[in-house]
Amino acid sequence: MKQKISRRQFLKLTGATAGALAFPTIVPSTVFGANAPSNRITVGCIGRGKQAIGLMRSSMGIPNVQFISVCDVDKGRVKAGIQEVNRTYAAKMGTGEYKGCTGHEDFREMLANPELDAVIIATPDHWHGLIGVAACKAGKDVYLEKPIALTHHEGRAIADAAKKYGTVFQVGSMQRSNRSFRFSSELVRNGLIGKVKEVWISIGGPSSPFCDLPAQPVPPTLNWDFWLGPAPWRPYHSDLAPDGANYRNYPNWRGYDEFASGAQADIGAHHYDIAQWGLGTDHTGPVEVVPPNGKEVETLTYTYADGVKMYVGSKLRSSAVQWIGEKGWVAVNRGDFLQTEPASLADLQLGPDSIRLYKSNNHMQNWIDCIRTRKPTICTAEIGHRTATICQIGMIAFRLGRPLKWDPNTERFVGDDVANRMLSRPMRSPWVLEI
Amino acid sequence: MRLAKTIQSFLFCILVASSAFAEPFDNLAEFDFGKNGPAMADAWKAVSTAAPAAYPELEKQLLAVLEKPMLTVAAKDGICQMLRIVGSETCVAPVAKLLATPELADPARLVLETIPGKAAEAELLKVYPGASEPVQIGIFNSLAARESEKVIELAGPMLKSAKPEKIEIALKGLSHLGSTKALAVIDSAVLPAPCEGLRELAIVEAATRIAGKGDKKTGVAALSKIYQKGTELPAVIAAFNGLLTTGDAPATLVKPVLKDQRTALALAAAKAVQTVPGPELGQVLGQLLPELQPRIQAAVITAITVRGDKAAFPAIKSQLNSADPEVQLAAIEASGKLGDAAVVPILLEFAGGSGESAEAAQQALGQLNVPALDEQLLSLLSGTEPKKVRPAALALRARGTRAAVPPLLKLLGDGNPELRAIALEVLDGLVTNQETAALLQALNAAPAESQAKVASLLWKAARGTTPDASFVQLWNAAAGSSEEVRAVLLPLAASADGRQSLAVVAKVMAEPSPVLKETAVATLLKWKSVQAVPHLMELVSQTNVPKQRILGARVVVDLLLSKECPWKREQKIEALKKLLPLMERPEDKKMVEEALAKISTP
Repeated sequence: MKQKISRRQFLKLTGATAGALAFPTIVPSTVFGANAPSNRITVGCIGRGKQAIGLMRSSMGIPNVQFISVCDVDKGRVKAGIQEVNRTYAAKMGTGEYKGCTGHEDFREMLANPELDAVIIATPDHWHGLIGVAACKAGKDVYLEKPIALTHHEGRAIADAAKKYGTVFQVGSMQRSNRSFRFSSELVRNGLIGKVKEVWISIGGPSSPFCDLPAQPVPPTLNWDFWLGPAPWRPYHSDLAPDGANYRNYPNWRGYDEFASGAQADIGAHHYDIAQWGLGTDHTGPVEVVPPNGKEVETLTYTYADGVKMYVGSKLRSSAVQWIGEKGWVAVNRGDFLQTEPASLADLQLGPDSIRLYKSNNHMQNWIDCIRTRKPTICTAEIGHRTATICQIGMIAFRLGRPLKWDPNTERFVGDDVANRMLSRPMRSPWVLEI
Repeated sequence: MRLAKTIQSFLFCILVASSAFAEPFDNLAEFDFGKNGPAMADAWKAVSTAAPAAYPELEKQLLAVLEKPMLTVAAKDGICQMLRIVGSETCVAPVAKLLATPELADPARLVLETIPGKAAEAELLKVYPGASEPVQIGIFNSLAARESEKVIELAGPMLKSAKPEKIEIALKGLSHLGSTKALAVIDSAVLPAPCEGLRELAIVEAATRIAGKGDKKTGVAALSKIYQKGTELPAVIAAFNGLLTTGDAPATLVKPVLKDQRTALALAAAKAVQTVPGPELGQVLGQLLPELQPRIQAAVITAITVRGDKAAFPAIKSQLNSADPEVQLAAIEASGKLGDAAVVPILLEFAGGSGESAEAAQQALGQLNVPALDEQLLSLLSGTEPKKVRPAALALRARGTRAAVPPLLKLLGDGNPELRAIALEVLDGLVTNQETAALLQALNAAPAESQAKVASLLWKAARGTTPDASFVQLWNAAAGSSEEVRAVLLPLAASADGRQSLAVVAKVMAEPSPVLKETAVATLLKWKSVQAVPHLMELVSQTNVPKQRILGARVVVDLLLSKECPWKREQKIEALKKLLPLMERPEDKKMVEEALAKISTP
């Protein structure tokens, strides 16, 4: 008879577990809500950069959440994360001491902890596919920073894994949890500007096709090879992974193809997402993408099956997204910027017969609520993947410098083998993506 | 002669074309990380802007550079990445040579992985036996990605490895093949006990792929096995989900699983049924509802709501009385989408309460689509009990029912302060500029303690997209109003922040009424744009009230130092120089002098 050992024990046995695994410290129910501990949701965060710190703090502010684990490939950041969590809970409990947070340098070790219910993933984009799928596979619910993945293949794998393993999955395109973005999309969906003809998106351009930064000495606390993970090898440079546990800026890995896709995906994952929401195309996408050619095509241009054109460029408009219809327009941006034509649309009250979109006022809270109820989140993996697909096919059009036909049903380019090859990127050994 | 010219032109074109390719690629040899970046940029530009017809030529040029001695690893890596775009079988042999170099094994393998045809696979297999372990794993992963049957052969020794991570890679590769042969290998492999969970996950993936390729019988059989006997929960959940989408009888599958003692499995099932079509399943869910654990009940109610199964609503309705708050909340939320007229009084009762259930009930009433509901709610507005009026009023606002505006405006003048407060709360969000006159009338009639709130509501309705003009219009309309009412309206000018509104304030400052005069000064001191500076200077120079002089000077300094101030430096300096002699206290002089110094410094 085979002896059954849990995956956690397995990792311990095989030496994959370098750090300590611990059950969450039992804390008073008042700290995690009236019905704790039955209502308690244990959360960990993979990645401890600027974005991760914000998300970590946001989750710790939600009743019923107990934050129990920090993971980063930089030991210094792990240590700082543990200290912050322990300090926060010690203050909440009024005990002066709390030691319930564990730290890990390897995400696989963190995911093997059976006491962990859910994970926030806020790593550079080139890690999203592998960690996102691994988290679903480990039975954890997932909050994954946008864009959902670096490549189309990875995004599809994550969406399929979330479905397969029943994961409550939130993609961090958090503009959906803002009233102005929701209301503007509702105006468009209810036909109040007539049939949409054009959408204008204001975002920056793509990343550089390669990273030629010079080599620098690797900081002693950083596991550089693990930071690179599935990406092509290159020497360390601080622009990519800044040294220091308390570094507070966004590093520039976003600027290079190996790790991300520039503003096209970084901000695109927000604004394309809203454009899709308004158009009602959350589960499909455009059918053609044409890159700017310096001549008659001035800006990246997508076309949807119904003829709607989506023009993309840096500061094309003062708004992030503007839908232009036959009877008017709606423009929206952060900071509660909402302008409409006719102006009266901005104050319109939607009736019970109107299309009402999913309402969430707090993206993190929505995820936690859905973990309890198993309701779909406001930005599911499938939605996030379809949004990221727009970013990715745009990137491929930029790279190839030619118009491309896209079939949103088969999720393949039509008649362009080279473009289809670029939908995925092979991973550096030993990494492999399998759901 | 003509032929000679044609040949000459032709040769020139070839020369230009070849130099266009050769030049950027020639410089590639100089590239390294941090050195000669433009060489790589030029090469990328040449590759990315080329038409597919030019790919063979580009491939040839890149391979020529690859042959150069002293080429850096970084340059070879870059060439490999470009060959992923333009490469064909031609590049297989030269690229395969790089597999022997540890630093280049991955980039080279990654080129070969995506090049179709047998040659790439043959090269990968040729290198495999003598390669280091990391290179072997990479090649194995590439072969699996290419769905090569050779994976089965190579996986055999890997499955016997003492390293679990190697076993995991072998299982992943086999499952990716999605063939019955690979499934059999996964199923029969003798694995260390800790790898059983990995085996279950691999079987589910292989079975899903097999079913997807058309062999539903084999796929379903393997999924059933894991679903019934598996112990790795994510694998069991994945097997259940696989059966739900590939199997024939979802309702039969769902009944027992929702009562399973493994809560995570039951919850996953409740989530999965949200997207399974068919009315039969909705009926089954409704029937099962009373028999389930509260947490599963809540998840099933959510599933029925997402599915839109109206026929199952009676079962949900009975859960509106559930003792479990989570179940009750889910039932309230469901009522908005699926409910009928009979649920209205219950929702109104919840909406009149407090907390999450009240908020959910208000939202549900806002969404509920039943005949004559607006009329029913409007009739409740004429009641005298605030606890009955409020939920109806909030529901009408949530429904965007403009017909509620007149009765609510009427309530603004009600003798009961609670009803007045309800009207104020609900009108905020319903009124438009059509109600300006009515709200001004209500303001005139409002008791002193609620005047400010009514004025705020009035301004929200009136301000529109041209607040400056709107304020002046409003001010003129209020010409016949009492001094107190005008004093409540005047501060709105600061929010309008325009020249016409500023002129109104300046004019009022000259009026004899002390109340209005004081309000005008206070409004001016709150002005946010620099256009107020001349009026503020006038105030500072003419006032006999020291406090007004000091505050006025501070506002002038703040406005001039503001980043948004559009004035030229000279203009700012002139204003501050005029202000300086008006200052009496040393600290105020110092403040102006410091501002002058700051502005004078370029």
